[in-house]
Amino acid sequence: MAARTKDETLREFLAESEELLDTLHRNLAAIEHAPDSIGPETLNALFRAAHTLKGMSGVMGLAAVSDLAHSLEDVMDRLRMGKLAMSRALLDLLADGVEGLERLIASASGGQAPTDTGTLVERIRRAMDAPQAAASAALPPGLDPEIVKVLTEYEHHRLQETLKAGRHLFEVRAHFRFEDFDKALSKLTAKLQSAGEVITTLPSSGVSAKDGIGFTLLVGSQRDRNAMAQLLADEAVELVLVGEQDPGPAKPAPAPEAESASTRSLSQTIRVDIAKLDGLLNMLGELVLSKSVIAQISKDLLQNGGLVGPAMELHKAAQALEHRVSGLQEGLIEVRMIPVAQLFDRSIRAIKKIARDLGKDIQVVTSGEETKLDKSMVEAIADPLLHMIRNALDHGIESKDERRAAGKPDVGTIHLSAAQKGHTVNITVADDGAGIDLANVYQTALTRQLAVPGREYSQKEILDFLFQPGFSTAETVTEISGRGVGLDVVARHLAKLNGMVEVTTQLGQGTTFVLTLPITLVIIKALIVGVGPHTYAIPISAVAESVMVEANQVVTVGQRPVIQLRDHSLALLRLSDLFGIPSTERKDSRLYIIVVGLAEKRLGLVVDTIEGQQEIVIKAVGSMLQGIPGVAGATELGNRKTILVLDVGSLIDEAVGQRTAAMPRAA
Amino acid sequence: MKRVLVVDDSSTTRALIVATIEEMDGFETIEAPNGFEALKRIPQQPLDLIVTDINMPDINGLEIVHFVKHHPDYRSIPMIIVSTEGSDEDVKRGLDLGAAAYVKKPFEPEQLKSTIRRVANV
Repeated sequence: MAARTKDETLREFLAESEELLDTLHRNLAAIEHAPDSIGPETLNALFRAAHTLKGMSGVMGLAAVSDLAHSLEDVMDRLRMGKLAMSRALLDLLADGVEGLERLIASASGGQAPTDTGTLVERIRRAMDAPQAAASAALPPGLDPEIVKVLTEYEHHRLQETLKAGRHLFEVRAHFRFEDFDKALSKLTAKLQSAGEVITTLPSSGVSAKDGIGFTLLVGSQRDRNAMAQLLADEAVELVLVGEQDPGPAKPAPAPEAESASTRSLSQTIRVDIAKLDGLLNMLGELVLSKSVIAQISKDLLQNGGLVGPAMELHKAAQALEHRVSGLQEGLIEVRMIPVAQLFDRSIRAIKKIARDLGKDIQVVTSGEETKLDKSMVEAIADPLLHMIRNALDHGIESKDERRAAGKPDVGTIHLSAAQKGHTVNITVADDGAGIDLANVYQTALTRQLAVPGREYSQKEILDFLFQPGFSTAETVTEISGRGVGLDVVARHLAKLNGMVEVTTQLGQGTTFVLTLPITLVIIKALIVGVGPHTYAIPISAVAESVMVEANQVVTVGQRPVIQLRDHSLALLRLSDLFGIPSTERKDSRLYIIVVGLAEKRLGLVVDTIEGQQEIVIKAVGSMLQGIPGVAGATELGNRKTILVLDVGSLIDEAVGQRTAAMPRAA
Repeated sequence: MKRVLVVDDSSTTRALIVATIEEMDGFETIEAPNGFEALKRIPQQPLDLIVTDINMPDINGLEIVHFVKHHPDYRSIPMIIVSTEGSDEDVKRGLDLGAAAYVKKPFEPEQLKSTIRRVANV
């Protein structure tokens, strides 16, 4: 095995740090959530993460990271050993410490200027003053001295705690086949953990059968011997209640049945560089194309009544290939998926911090945290999401006095939720604040010359102004929301991701932002449409609906065709005009309109035919086509035809932009 | 070639220990990211040395030392503990259980190398 390069080691360090920081954040959040029932496993997980971070940053020569991690490790060690009690102030200090680690590690990766965390280390060190000594209990006589020898200091402490709490102490002896002892042991451990605490696991050597391995687990539990024996009735283990004179009839320990199910993922997870997955996925994209080509040939052959026998064979093979490729594709996309819980955790920390800065009391309610999203998508939406959260905290949730006056609870609520809808995920940020004052928005839009005086606007159209460049006003810009960065930036950012944002609001009740995002950016579902002799792909995540209207419903407002769709006027763009293609006249004088939307903007694309939905892999276009407005890239269809993928964001910007905002309502 | 099993749950630390050992002539390494994997690796091939961390989930370094030093087939494999100074008590227990040496993290590569040479009798 070749020694790794410095770069590789740094990458490894950063990836591992990220996981450890996540562990720290997650467990601090668990304490924050339930400060009265802090489990030993939570405190030990905190300690272990800080300990590992200290060790690895030490060997990397990152002294500042190591020092800060060391101070946190010391505090967490005292907490888990019962020598220090958790308090609100200490929890905040630990959270600050973890944030400091994050900053230092970011600067180690070259992302930021190095920060000085010396005072932070001092503050953390001071928190450890005057530790109480823990009294120790005598060990029970029946305890195997070999076990006592291998207990770490912490495990020793847990044993003491178990005895002090008057819980029963069991030795569970198990023997497993060597091939799959890790799975079998994990399963047994999980079962025991459901009944108490596994204090230590000692592999025993020498005495047992040649092809297997034995373990003695030391377990503390409230349950008595009978309850424990019942729990372990299906397991080939020997159960001993420590200190009991007669251990009862010991069960023989035959070779256990093969266990196929594993209960934990601890040693079954792998960490993969996302770039490698991208490479694999690209290759898969090529495979998807080959599959489509074969499917097309088989279809052509069948339709043309070619060699019927071989055509049927090819058709079957194509179907089998299709089945396997989609399985592979789903699997590969699946490994890129992470639950949005990680994103929510980060958001909750940001909310707590911003709320502290603003002096507002906020509770965060989350739901749908298990919803999964492509890792790169999660990274890409972190900033837009944070921006909306800041908006909600700064402009949405009122001050305590205002809330009281309005008869609302002092504590404001932010609801973060996620849900998967087919190939898209909705992420919602809802607040129970003051809501958006439409009259105010309208006035601002007038002042900023975004709205045309004297024209009538629907509620939706007024909310549109929020996403217009230049809407953010001096009055609404604070330190929290960030100078000069308005919702227009959020909208643009989302447009790049083929996402949409919708806002609904009720004065006095609150505001809800809903982000709609494709679950991955690599392979997307597209609507294939025809215009004249040409075919185009439109990312389905940008398609709100498709409608068929009579040609005479189109009216011209200004110089632009518009239709009335429900309570809303919708500007139309004929793709045939945009790309200078002669459109095939539809005999029945009806038009297909694909309503696309990114952010709050909507546009109706007029097309000749809708050819169906297909999964496509977006490829960059050559220099010839680069810079052509409205084109995001190219893709190949199964018939070996290369077609253009429309960039809905730039189409909207190009076609409507400022003009839609000033568009009168077609009464 | 002397074969060394490196057990550490931090992939970064493990990589650096492995890199240090592989800079030495006549040494090759096998890695285990946790105690389970270590127990699996040990019987798979003859080993000349085991370098282990202490603080690991489920099966800790002390338990690995105990296992190796009590096993009729493996008890002659020398062991080195590489661990942070977190608990002197834990290090002492490791040495009592039969580990030949202790190297404190963060280690100087030269110090780890000389300890390995000494323990592996090179």
